[in-house]
Amino acid sequence: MFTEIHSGNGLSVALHSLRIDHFSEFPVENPIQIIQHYSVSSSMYLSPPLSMSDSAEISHHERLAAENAQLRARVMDLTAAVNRLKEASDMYRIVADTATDAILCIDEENEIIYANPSCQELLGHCPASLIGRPLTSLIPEHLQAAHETGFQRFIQTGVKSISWSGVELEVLHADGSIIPVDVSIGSLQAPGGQYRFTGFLRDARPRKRFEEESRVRMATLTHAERLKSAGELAAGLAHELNQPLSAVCLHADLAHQLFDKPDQNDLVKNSLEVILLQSERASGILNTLRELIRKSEPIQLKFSVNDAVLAVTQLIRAELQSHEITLDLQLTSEDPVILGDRIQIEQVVLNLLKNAMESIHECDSATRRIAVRTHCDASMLILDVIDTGPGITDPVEAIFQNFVSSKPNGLGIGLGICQSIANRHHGRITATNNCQGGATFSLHVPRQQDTGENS
Amino acid sequence: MNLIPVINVVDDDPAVSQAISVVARSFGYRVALYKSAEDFLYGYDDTQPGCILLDVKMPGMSGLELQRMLRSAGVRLPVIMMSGHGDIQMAVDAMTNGAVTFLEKPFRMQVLGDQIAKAIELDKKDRDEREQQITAREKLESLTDKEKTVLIEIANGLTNRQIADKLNLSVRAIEDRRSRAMKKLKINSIVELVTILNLGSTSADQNLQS
Repeated sequence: MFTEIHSGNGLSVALHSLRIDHFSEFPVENPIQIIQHYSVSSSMYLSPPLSMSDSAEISHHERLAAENAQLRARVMDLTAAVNRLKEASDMYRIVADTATDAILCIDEENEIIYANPSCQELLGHCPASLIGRPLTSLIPEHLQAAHETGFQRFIQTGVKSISWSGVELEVLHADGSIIPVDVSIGSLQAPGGQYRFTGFLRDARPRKRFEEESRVRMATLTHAERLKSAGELAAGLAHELNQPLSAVCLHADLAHQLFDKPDQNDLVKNSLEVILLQSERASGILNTLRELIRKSEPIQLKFSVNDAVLAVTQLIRAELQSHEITLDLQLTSEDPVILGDRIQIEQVVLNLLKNAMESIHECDSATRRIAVRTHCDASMLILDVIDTGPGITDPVEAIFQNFVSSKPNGLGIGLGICQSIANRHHGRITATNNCQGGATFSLHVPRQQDTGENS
Repeated sequence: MNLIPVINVVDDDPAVSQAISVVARSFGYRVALYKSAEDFLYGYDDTQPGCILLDVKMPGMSGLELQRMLRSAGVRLPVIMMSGHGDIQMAVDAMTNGAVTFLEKPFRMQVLGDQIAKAIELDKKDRDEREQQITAREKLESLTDKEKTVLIEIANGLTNRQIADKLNLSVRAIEDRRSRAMKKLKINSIVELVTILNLGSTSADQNLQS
């Protein structure tokens, strides 16, 4: 009974179109009308063969069907796009809501338009209560003016007055306390030209606590290293000190014995002079030691690196002699003044010298010589400690890492600490092997142009 | 020979050796200063009576090494060891090697004086003994083998009769040899005989040459 139907595709089009009623959101035509339309015409299909007017109607239907198909596809595209946008928006919301950093968005009026839940934790404010308030209400008083100025300047000129990534600022907690935060700022310009700003605020207290702990730990290590060196030097120092004391002791006894013998006045006088001189020598040795083991905060003073080298070599003289090592000092005649903590720099020099001494001692070198050389270029002061040992066998980067040591009994913290002391003085330590054997360790520190004042 | 003892001071620190020098001269001694063990080896004179004041810790050869070297070379000057950072092992080593004493720096003048006096006394005794040994040996060498044999048996406690029996000689012959020998040695008693035989047979000078 469907034979006639095959002669045209009107019904298939109609049936096909009928399915459209599944799309309740079909936006353009009322599907019910379409169905009614097709209901009427489909009965006509079952009637006598097609007339001309029939075929005109069919082609009209076909055109409508094609338009509908296009619309339907467009609707599907739009729906998918809406879904994608919703998904993306949800995703960003979840990211912002889950972030442990506090996130705030403000508009050009400096008003808060978004605050994530972490604001509660960091700022003590319920996020919803922040919306619509000026950002300035979260800024401590002493920073408010700077914020206003910087904010306005950026909006007018696009020039940033502070770094926008990881800058350390302060915020005002609901309880009135001031909290240090690391802030990163982003901006976007809406199509209308208006700015929106997003700020990520991270509590800086744990970081600062960690930094403080590291600093204390480093200070303790430096102190421990000093004590260790001092301990190792104790034997040498005892020897150093007992030499002048021996002379003092004997001359004092002698002077005492000859005191009332008028013809021996010259001898007594000579003895007293020796006692003075040797007492000063002993006291000088003790001062050097005391400076070396004193634990102190970094000091910023101008001093001559040559003086530091001389002080250290005085301390280590006995040890060098007992190892039969010749010390060759080549100190620059330019005054090599640097700014920093003299004791720490002496510590570095001492460590480099001891390393050099140990490397020569352990390999039993035929040439036993350490040269300490200071020289300057335009901006840097360079101190070289050149030894005749076996040179560096480990990778050069590795020897500066703490707890890497080629010495069987070494703690290996020496060079690591030396490097960090150099860094604190805005310098560095480098190490190279000499072409004629041995190694050179160099301390590079920025020079101070001596202006005469010693502050 | 000058009989005033020489104090040999071996120390690398001029302040210390100068102080010891002044003090030692105030005690009436002569002084020779050496700034290293090597210097001492080049310049020492052990024919002069005296002693050595030796610092342990010096650049180059240490005091203990010098002490061992002198001992094996037969230098018999008494050694007083000095150290600014003495430990027990160091002191034991020094004493085992025959040091008179081990002085820890700083030390008092009186202590130094006492120890120097003790060392010089030892040196004097040693020199006297070697003198007597040489004399005894010279005297014993003037004897004939026959005389020497008789004297040794007497020292061993045998009577003239027993010696005569042992050597298949007459008692008279033994008495003859004995009185000739005693006359050559310029001694009268058996006690003196035993002493001179002991002195002559000790090998102090052979030690010196070994």
